[in-house]
Amino acid sequence: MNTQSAFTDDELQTLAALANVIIPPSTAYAVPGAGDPDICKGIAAGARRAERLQRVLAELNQLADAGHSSQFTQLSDGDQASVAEQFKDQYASSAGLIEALTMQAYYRDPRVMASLAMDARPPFPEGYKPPEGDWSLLDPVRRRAPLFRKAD
Amino acid sequence: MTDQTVDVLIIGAGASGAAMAWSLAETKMHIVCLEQGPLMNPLTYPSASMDWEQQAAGEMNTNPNVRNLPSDYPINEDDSPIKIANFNAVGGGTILYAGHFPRFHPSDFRVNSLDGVADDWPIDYAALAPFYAENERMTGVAGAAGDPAYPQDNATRVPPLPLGQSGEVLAKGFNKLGWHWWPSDTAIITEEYDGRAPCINLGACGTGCAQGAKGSSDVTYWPHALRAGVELRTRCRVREITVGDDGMATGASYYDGNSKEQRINAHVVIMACNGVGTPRILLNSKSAQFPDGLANSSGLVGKNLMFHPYAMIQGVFDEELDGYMGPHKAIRSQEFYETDADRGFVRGYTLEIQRGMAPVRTAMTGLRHKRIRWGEGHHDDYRRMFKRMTGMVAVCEDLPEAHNQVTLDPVLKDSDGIPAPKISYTLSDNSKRMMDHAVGKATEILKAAGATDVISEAPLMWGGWHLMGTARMGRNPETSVVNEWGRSHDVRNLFIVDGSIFTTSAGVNPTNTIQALALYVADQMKSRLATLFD
Repeated sequence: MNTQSAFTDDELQTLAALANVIIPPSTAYAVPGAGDPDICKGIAAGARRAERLQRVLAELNQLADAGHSSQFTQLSDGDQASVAEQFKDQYASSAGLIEALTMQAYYRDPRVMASLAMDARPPFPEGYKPPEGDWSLLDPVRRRAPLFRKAD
Repeated sequence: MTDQTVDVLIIGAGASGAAMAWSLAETKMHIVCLEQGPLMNPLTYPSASMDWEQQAAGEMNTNPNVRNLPSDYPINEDDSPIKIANFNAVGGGTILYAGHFPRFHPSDFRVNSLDGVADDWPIDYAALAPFYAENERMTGVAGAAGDPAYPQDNATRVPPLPLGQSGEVLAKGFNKLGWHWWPSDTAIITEEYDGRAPCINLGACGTGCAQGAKGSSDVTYWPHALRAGVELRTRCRVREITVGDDGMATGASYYDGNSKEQRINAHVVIMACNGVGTPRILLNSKSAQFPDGLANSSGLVGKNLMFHPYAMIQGVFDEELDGYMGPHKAIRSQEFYETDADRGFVRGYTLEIQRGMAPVRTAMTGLRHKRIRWGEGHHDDYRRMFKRMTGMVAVCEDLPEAHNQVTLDPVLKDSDGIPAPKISYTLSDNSKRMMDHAVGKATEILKAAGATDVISEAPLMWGGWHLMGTARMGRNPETSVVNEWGRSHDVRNLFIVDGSIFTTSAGVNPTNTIQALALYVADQMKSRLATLFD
């Protein structure tokens, strides 16, 4: 697994900008955007091959350059959103990778988990307690005639 | 290269190899099992880490090409719409399985007689019933007796997994339609069992059970087999089974953990590598006597590959459900299991309820189905789905077709230079019609249960969990690879005990049947020891 150090500052800034386009911060839900430094660190660390993620960011910048003669980080919010949409259309596989890495890092952040009313912890060792449920619902099924075919 | 002779060599320490090793151990023979993967440490499973869902998508992915661990071999699956799911370790695929543990139905062994398709098995439900019971006792199965979809059984069961909010909502939907449902027989213990602690609802069954409550064969059979004297060698990858001038198997050549070639001689060789691994080794075992691969005079090694084509159908509800809490399984329906000609296809399927989804999976599902957007709408979209989804998969019976097959890739090799398998598979029209039917019926249930939105996907591309049929069982050596008790027609000291010997696939998860078959073959071997090679 790679660490953040495999990326240049420019690459990390591009990653943060794109991550914030994918999941922006929300004051209504009291959550950071996915471009938050801690979350971004997780996105970068999640790439099993740094060069693949670097290629994704280069593709994004190529699109920004082709349409706006600018790096992605220098674009307005509106232009970033529009280049990101273009990126999804033209580089579906790369967009899929960054999307997955972003979700994997974002939805384990303690601030995000708190906003979802989850304890900020892994499942093990505490586990969870779902309700048992009402097993009397099974009563009508118990009364059914056999529905398997005899094979003799 | 070392050279040693043992009584029995088992290749593969997964579901079937474990059951076979345990059962044969009572003979006091010298039994060695070679496994290409490691012995897992449950405390290191992803669910003990915050990034567990990331690990599930990477190093603990079900697909070996994505996972790409040192214990994995690559598989060319470009010619298949369904990708292989497996795991290479002691416990095999049971490390990652969800633990759904149904039996086959009696009709599943008589497909040709009842429906005029495929072939009947050379054994029947009654022959396997005692071995199902033994397997369930060894594994620890949660469930409830009295399911009208099955004959009465004598299974040992602990209380069922929680029905939960999700199960309750769907049960009401089934009841409204008057359709069958039942608590799933699941290899997850709900109370202490055989020294193992009960399920604590981690909701991460598919990444290995850190609690040890899920009945993967590394925690069920292997501790007993090892105590009984079976020798287990990990990180040993078999290249080929060797044969003598008399056409009998003499043992195997394999690479140890240092990629050093080793040799082991054995009086009996037992294949337990499942529907892709077993034909791969047999096809790689070419010799002057067996130029087309070992045990392959019928030409059927690798042929008739069956998956269970899966359809996934999920509903979004207004109320909060179980979400990330609890085992993936709760209940199942077999309302559409047995053949009904009016449906436009033969055979049938099980609807296997999936409780809910963890946070990342919720996001990925919503994004894939365009219910969750990038940008400003993301948070609202996500919260409409988080803890508000439940649904099911349809496990559809796949019929054997010779063109669906495992062959050896002419180029691709593993890290030891052993030719890798290539999968060629197309969905049959029968399977497509069955999946369409399942999506329609599941949608009806979800709507009856109150779903406000339904999403579906068929076939599930990453759903190649069940690998069957590639060394089929039968009485006729021209149309099968092994006989009715698992012995190769061609090589009288070679046995196969995994999913590759299935004659047909049924419409349920196969692990209980794989292990029951292994116990049945072991029992046959033990009862014929004096004449085993006649």
